[in-house]
Amino acid sequence: MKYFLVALTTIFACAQDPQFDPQDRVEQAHKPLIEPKTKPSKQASDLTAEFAKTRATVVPKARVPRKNFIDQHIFGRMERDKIPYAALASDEEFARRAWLDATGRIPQAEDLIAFLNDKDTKKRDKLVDRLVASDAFVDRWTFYFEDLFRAGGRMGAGLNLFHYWVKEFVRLDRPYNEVVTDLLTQSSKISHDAPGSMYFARDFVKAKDDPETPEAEDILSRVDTIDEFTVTYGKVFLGLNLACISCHDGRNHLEKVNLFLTSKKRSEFFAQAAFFGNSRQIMNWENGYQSTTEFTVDDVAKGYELGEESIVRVPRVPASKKNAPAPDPRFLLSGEAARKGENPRDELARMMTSHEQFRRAFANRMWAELMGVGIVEPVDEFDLDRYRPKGPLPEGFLPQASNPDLLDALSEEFRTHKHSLRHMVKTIMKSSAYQLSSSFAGEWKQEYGNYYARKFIRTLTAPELHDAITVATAKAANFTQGTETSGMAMQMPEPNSAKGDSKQFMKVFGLSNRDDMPRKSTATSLQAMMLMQSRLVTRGVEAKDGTRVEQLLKSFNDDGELIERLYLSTVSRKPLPPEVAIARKELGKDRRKGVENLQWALINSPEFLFNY
Amino acid sequence: MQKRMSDMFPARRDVLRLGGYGLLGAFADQALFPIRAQAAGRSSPRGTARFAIVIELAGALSHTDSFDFKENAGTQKDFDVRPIRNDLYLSNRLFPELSKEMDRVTIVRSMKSHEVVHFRGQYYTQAGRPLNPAQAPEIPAVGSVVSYELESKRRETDSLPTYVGCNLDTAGCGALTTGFLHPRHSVLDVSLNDVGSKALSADALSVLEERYTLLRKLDQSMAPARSGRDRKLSSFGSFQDSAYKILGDPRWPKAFGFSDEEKKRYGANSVGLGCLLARNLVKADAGARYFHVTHPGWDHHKNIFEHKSTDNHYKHCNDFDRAMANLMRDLAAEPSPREKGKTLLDETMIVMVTEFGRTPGALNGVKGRHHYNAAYLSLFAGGGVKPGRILGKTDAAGEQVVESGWKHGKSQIKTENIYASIYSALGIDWRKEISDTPSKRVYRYVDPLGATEFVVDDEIAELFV
Repeated sequence: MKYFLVALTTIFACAQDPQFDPQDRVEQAHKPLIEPKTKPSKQASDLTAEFAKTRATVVPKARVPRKNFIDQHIFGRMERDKIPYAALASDEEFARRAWLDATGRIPQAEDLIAFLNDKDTKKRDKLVDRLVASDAFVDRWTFYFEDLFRAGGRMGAGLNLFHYWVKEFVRLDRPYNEVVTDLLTQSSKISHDAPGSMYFARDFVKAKDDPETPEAEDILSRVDTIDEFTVTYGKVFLGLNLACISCHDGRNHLEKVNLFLTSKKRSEFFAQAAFFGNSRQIMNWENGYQSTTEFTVDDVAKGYELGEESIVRVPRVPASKKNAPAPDPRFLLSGEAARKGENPRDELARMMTSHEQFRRAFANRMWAELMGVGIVEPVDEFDLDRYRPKGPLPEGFLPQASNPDLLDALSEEFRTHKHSLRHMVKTIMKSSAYQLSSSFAGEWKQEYGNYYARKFIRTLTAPELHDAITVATAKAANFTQGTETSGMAMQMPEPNSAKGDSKQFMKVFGLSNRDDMPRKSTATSLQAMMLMQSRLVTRGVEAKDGTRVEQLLKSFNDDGELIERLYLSTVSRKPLPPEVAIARKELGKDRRKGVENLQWALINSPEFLFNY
Repeated sequence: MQKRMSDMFPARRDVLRLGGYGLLGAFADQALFPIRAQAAGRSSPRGTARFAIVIELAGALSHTDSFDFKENAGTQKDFDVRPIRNDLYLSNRLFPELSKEMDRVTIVRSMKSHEVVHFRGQYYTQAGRPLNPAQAPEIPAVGSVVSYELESKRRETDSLPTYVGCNLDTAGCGALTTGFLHPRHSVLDVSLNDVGSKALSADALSVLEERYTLLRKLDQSMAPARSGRDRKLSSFGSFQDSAYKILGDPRWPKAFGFSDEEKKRYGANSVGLGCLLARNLVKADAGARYFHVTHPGWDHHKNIFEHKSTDNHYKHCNDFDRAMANLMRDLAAEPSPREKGKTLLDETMIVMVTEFGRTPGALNGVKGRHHYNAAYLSLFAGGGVKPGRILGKTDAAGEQVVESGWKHGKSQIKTENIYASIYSALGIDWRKEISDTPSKRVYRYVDPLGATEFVVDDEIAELFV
């Protein structure tokens, strides 16, 4: 019965009209930072004031077109502070970047050629629209959100359901606030009926493992589980790291780390955690043992029990106050209490998804994903007292956001466009800011980075790199799980679906298991070794079994044409004349071996490893 | 400018003579890591070891069920505890091999950890300091600092990186990065089925050579087009040079050539194979000087002595027992090619570390032991360590330390002091500091102020004298 009640309130909450703020607020947020004709402001931000004194020597002559509000903010600020910036990326540079960012794959040569030959002046916008509407977009962003929601083995038997649920959200472009509401409010009897409930269920903290205990729920430390989950959603949805204040007050601990959290108390964390105070995650039993693959999630517990023994944290209250009453749920950012009579989880979803920090955290994530670096970094450790500092900051601290006006404008754009992922991706990718070259003429200074004066480059993620090799060599890898058979890692329902060479390869490039293994991407010699010697590469470049190299050897008699096509297929650009000369020599020695060697060298060239 | 940089890194030129790119690449982006260690000479490092092998029992070893044995309600009947020497009793069921080798080992029983959770604890064992989230991105692993320090001693024949890890990717925090140090000081973290471990046939090697030559030619022709881009793009070249050199070095696949007899002796598991690899690389002397072998799975909160479980204290102790005992034996049997009368064990400091201890006394409600940080232990052998001793003493229950066992009074020994001792043995001034870090916060090799309580920034001198 309780379950139905929760489901009904969820539907009700979703059906409510979103409150639209007056239009002028939108315009305010989108107002250009600097009107082009005004003089440079003397009030350069703290981040940039010092630097702005040094005049740039190279300022691009061609004005980059202002495509949308993003460009007003980015270029307005650069022109105000006389910061030189890179030129627009070439069509080739832009195309590879756009394909990778939107779809996680490098382009097929035919598609790339069609784009390069297109004479339409709006062809970049057209490409962005096409890529964002593609199936590969769904694969790539499903993978992104499954990483974000950590859809790994801890979700148990519900993982497959969760996978298709996320995929559906991305495909239908469901409003993100509704998706998050599902994640926070769904309950379920088993792991196969309510995908959102898995998000809470996966954060279980095991406490006892005693099959003789009559109560199955005893095998979990319930309050510890709630603490874990509170830290999780705080990071993911609000960009706040509440882990520190889950054990102690901020004061005397966080003064050098986070000014906002310094002012927060552990009791405020308890009140935040108390939104899930009635919630239980019960591991179902199989053959006399609890099974981590099946869950029940419901809301019939007695609140956030402060006295419960914690196996991961210092006690919440002294032993003498073991029976202290459970705290009332209260939203950490606004102090708002849950209304009586409502399910506190519904209340949390309502307060959180309507809070500006929710939108800001998401907009910042999208910006970081597409632009390489967030406006606030790290993306899940906002310091709200340093977002728009009201007064001078303590020594050693700088404002945290490189461009808070832009981030707020992006958040507002997100809100006024139905919290649409696709709209966010398109808006950012269509801006000239996104389309700047990663190559900067003149001497680069690190401070320019704060302005996004050239495109940040990033290493391809493990599945991206795997799939880039698959597309380049036209040799599909094998995945044993899932319904898709194209051999693309980005279609895996979870990282464990990878086997053999694919798994080994991706592990070295930092594939997360979404449970306890974080994603990492620092370059190592082992990665270099992998690119040289993995069978994924050495077999992929062999001229047999219909690989790219074999196809091209058959289709092109002219070495020059073959070389150009191999470059387009592998590094998504045409070769430069000196490269053609070297490649011709290589083919001249032994045509077949030459082409194999050439593709091996292109896959091993540093540019292949990066989204630049 | 150019002159100053070459002064700083004289050896790198030799190391990267292969292929023009490495030389250009490594030097070109050197300016972006303008790190310079200062204040040498504040400590007197001993320089007694050429190599160091750190074996990390990740998850935390129960001290009272191992090298600080205390009989208690949790003690199992089948432990078969035997006296080894004064104040040293060891379970023959858990440590049958080490029981015969304890005269090579010195135990420190007065450890205290700042941490009680694994993620932070394992970070602490790799970084040599507690995790400070504000500074973490620029903090290098201890192994990377060693690599930075020993770089000037590298020879042209040294193809392997100074810092080699094994199973570091299983740690909660993964393998730490080089932080503010150049990426070339990063760990080569191998798990034992990695592609690099397979010996290349002569044919494959000649194909690789041909292809690599082509890659370098193309890359040089591209160099102008790459200018103006982030250094990351060009710094990958130094990893490629390093990888290529390693793949072409016959000592590398040889180090992975484990015989069946060796696998049986060491155990075909993460710690056994890790120690075997470390032994082989010490013998090969091909550039690797600092090893960090992670032995995961010690977190026995429940059913710690459950015989039916394949993941219990018995199994982990037995695995570690074989690995460490045979590592010491083999190194001790090998004469040093550098110094007459010395063995490789004399030149190699082996240290067993674990992030904290486990609750002493009776087992908990689920027949396990939880985390405990007020008292635990570490082991030292070789590389100048005076063996066969015990430093520090705990009370009868193993709950509190009653004697620290070193000259710093009541201060318990910390992970920081373990690393100070390793630095010392390797001839590195452990009181050095780096002040021109990106954040401008001073990085001290051994940080007395990094934790919530003051840490003595000293080596454990009592290990050596």
